[in-house]
Amino acid sequence: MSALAAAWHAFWFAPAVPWPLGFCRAGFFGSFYVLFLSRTNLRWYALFPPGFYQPRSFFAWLSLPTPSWEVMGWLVTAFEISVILAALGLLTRLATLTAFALGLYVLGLQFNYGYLHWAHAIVPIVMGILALAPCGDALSLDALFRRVVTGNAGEAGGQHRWPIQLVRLVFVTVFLAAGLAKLRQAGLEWVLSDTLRNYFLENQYVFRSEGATTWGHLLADWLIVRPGLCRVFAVVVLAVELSTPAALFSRHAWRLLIPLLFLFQVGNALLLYQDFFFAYLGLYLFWIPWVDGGRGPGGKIRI
Amino acid sequence: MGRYTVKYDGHTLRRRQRLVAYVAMLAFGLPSVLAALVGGEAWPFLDYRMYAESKPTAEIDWLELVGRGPNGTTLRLDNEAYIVPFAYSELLRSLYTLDVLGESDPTPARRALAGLLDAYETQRRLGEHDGPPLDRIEVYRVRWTAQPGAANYDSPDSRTRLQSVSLPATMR
Repeated sequence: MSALAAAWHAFWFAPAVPWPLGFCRAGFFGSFYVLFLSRTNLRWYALFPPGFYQPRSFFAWLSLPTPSWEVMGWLVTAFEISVILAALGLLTRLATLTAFALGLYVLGLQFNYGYLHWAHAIVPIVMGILALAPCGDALSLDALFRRVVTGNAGEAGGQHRWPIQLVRLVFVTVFLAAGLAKLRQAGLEWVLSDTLRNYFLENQYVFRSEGATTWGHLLADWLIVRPGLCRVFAVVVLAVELSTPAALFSRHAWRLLIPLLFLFQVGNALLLYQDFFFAYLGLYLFWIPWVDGGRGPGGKIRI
Repeated sequence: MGRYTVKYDGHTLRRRQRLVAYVAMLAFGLPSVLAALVGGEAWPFLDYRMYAESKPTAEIDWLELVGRGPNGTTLRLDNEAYIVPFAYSELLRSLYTLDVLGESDPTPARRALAGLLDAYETQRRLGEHDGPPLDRIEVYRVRWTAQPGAANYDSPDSRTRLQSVSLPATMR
């Protein structure tokens, strides 16, 4: 096996015990339900006035109609049940597949009304990955029943590693994409001008009511009168976004970048009045280094 | 197991398991990477271009949505109870995508505004919110030279009416 092929196999298929993937599944679906779904009434998406509908992506390709209130109610209820079942690991394959298919539709519906909650997009992608993964092999009711009936506790193997690595890959592409989009659209002007400071300012007008109800605007006000500091922040933001793929391969980069990304998102919520990232907060569980034998990405693997 | 398994450090991975892994990588990993590297959007694969444009000046160019009642009452429609399921900023961004500025054809924006006013009145009559009756809805283009804390929010540099849409006679 060539060095490249060995590295490829080690990255995706090095053996891993089943429970970290089970923990990530339970944590992701559980936190998504508790922190987001139980506090957000997606049924309201059926109430968008029809003149705003601008179908995009597969909604346009498949000419999907807008749902009635009743149909949306059933779809959202089924989505909620599937997310709960996936968190519990009961009928895991069916639950994760259903959550993926319905999540793609009900979360994506708003995409057709001219404005997008960007942060929600990664959710159905991760649901799709977990739907294909053996994520119910541990820490699930399915595994409990299986153990009682057959005595089979599940074995370590590469099938429990690739899903975690793939979720990590998708996670870093979100931030890499944001960094590359800045370079494509603004170039270095993004850090050399007062762009970040001016976004802080602009959002105090655009998100007038949201800004008035958080203490983030006090911090934003403090930063706005320090343009030099805002430019330093802009450099850090761009550097972190463009560096995120390193977290996949380097333990040192992982230790630095993942906490910085978390802080970066907290800053987004406070300073730019964006929604807090409750919908995918659970994805940070995939970065806890259990699956890597306790050492983090790039570390020595121990089973 | 033989030819249907691959051994790695003493652990086996069935061919089907590897196939599923590669299907997942092709279905979810590759489009995510491509969207990041090349740009473009096909839900749920996005290029996360929010805040990507250069913004060298502190000039703010935004919209304001106002309802007018039959007896002259004025209501800024920034209360989310009046514009369910939108948040105010989402609604205004949506109007931009419908060409509310009228750069080519504002007809879709006017149609959407009519639908919004219809929905407002329908919800009000059903008791879903406590807003006053409205018979007209207007969109203004508002410009400011930004100040910290949006100190001049209520006194913009300019405020220009872009669109005005009335409730149909059948709804009055």
